[in-house]
Amino acid sequence: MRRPRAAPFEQPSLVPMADMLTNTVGIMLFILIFAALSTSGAVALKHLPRERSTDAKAIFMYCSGGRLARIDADALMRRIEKPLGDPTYATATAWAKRYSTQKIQTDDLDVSGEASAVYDENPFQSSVRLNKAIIAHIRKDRGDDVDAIHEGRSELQALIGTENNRDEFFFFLVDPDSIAIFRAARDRVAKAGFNVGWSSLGPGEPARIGNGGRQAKVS
Amino acid sequence: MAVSGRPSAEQDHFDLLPFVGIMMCLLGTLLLVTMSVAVINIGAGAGEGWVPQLDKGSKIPVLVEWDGKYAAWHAGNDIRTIEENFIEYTPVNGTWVRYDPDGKGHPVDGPQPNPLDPLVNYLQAHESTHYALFAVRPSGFKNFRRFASRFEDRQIEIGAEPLDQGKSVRLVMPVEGKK
Repeated sequence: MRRPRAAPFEQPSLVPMADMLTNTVGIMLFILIFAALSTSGAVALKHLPRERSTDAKAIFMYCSGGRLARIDADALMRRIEKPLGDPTYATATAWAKRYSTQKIQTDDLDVSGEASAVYDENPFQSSVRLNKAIIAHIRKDRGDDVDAIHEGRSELQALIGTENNRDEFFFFLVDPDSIAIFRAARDRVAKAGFNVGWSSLGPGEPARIGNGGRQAKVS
Repeated sequence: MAVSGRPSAEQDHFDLLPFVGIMMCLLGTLLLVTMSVAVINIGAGAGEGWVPQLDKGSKIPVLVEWDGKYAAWHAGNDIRTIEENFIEYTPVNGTWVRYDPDGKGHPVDGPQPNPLDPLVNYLQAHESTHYALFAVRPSGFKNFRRFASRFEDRQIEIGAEPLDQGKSVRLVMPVEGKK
């Protein structure tokens, strides 16, 4: 009996396979292009700042070393001036020198005074003007960090709860190493309806707040 | 893969597993590239697009990047980079005083052109409708106020926003009629 002949081997076509592969690669490339186009230059900012003057009172916040602390300039000046007594025309220069040697400490800040007496001599009336300022650094590991801001357990959060958003605004003094905490804090206060302003400081530069110089503006 | 219903010793098997493997590798690689591009664009290396809200009474921002030495003026699709030399001229009692970068003043015959003049002049000419919006990089924090005073002294309104050092920024103007 003759043995039945085996069916000859047929090479399967690879065209469907290549087709599937090409389709998959094409789809992935489309996704890649779409992802690149849709995510490039993500829009991040809605409110663009524009500075303007205000009658509202500034609440100064100092952002440095990734920390945030309030600077109550009026209260700190009063504390520095307390042991010095009141200045007079005759004692202004000496008073300013003593003011400039004062140093105090709060929970969050190291503060020193800086003052100068400027005499205005004119034939009709002589007067003296005292330029006073406080210079503040955040103490090591003091103030609030960005987590405290996000979690709402910061001094800032307490201020938001007690201060009035019509009569007061927050003004931030920002070190270049503290942009992230400034943004987090700004978002918080803006959400609470407060106006916000800010000014840049050099790296490690202390906050200097006085009765002269540039006016704090909202933006 | 056998073509005949009954396997025989003479029939060969054609295994597609290596092809599936190659396809999976390719897919995985492309997925990785896609995710990387997405992460780069929305993550740490992402640029920022700032959208002005042009409602009644608002002014059109003119974006200027400041890095402490150079001002990059976004003029339409162009970016013009201008070096700030911190030389200023001020009229004092009928004469001109030139202030050098170190703050020292010298009497001079008159003001000399400054590289920033085109930008300042443009903003001053359009001060009723435009204002200067500064994107301030960390390297420019220290002298930003001094730089900005060149504009403020000419009664040009300003605004400022901090921007990370290597991050790009652009203004995304809202489409007309679209909120």
